[in-house]
Amino acid sequence: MKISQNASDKLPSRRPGRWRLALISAAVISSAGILLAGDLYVQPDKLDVREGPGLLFDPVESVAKNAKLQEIERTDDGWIKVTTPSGKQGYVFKGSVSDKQAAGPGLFSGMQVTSDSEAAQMSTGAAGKGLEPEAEQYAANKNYSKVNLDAVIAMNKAVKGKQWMQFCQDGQIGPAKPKPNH
Amino acid sequence: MTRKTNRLRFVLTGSLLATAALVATVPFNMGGCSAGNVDVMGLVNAGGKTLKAAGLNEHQERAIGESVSLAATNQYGVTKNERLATYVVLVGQTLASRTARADQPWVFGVLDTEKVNAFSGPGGYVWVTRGAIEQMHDESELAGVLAHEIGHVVKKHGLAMAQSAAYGDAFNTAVGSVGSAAKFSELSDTVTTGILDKGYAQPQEYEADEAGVKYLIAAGYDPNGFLHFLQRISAEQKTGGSVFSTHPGIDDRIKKIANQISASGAGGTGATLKDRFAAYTGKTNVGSIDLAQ
Repeated sequence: MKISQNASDKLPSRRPGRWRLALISAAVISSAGILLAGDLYVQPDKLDVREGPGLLFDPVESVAKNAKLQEIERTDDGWIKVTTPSGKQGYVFKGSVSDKQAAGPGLFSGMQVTSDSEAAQMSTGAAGKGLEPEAEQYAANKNYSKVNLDAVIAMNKAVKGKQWMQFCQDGQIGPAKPKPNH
Repeated sequence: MTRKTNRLRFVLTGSLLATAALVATVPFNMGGCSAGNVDVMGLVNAGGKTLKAAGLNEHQERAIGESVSLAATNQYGVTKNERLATYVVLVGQTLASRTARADQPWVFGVLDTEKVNAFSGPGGYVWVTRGAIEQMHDESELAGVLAHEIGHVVKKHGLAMAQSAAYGDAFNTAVGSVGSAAKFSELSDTVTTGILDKGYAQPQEYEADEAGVKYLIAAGYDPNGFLHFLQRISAEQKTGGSVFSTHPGIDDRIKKIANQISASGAGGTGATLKDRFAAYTGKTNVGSIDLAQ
């Protein structure tokens, strides 16, 4: 029996075409979902991306507010491994990033925050840039010596991530704390 | 069934497949907000609200902490024992890494005085005296004292002290004006006196204790170390000692801390690290030790 080939007589090809649509939808939605889930936006004006999961690790790059970071993986204690817009990998703390853009322009919007040569000398704290101007003035007003405080700050700066990690591992504390058995 | 219904059914099926793909590819711990056993987001929110109330920004907060530290280091001096000083930094940083302020600057130091005390200032400055360390028996006790002071910083008690001094508006004046510098100096004097001489109010001490115990547990230390140290200090006070003079009401604090540890089930577990404490401090037996170099 000859089967008509006219379009009006054509039987609907039900299963193959519509399943293909479903799979394509799944692929598109999955791709978009993965991109959205992996993107993080820097919240403070400037954020150090560090070589390890801890404040004591040296910065590898500094990024500006609303710079888009690609999430790689998360640690158990709030640090996230990311890829920066320049392609470098490092760690940021969960509290400094969000899946939503921060409101308002940053101080360094559109500017390169640091060069590679500057990154190694960066620090977010008093250890890296001296005392705050108000504190300097306070010391002058009170005739206080800064020698002792400067020495303590310098000593704190000298303690690095690797030394700290070894200390934690030796004592099984901090990030090296034994995980509970489930 | 209509063609439209069929199309909708297949799109929904595709969405379910997409959801399954997302679940399979997303890291297992994504979305978690915990650092160990500490509610990080809870700490962040609490700290943010307090900062907003204080009306001071991060730089101003650090300036106050530096001023308090300048006063303390000029009054007492700092230890020349670098090994001891580094040890305190390592323990302090381990605890600080368990807080919502894990990526903010911290400075830990040892004041060179036989007085038994510990202080903390805004911006992450934490000080413990040589005299306090000489009273400790192991690393968990040192961690306990540091964790308590870290709690004051995270809860922004120093900033609240500045706000209550009614000098919060000092930082809203024009930068560089003489009036602004003078106001800041007055504010720093008030906070310094409050922290170094008078101490925090009892509710803030309780709050710092509670936060400190959480940090200890999250860091893997035995929280009983803090309890044992306070019990020893309480006994010392009863014999007429002026130890921990800026931390009154120790007995009530001991009760609350003991209850918190009991409820946590963490008492007696975790690290005490007595041998490491002895190695870094040179303390070979219980009792007074000379940590001055």
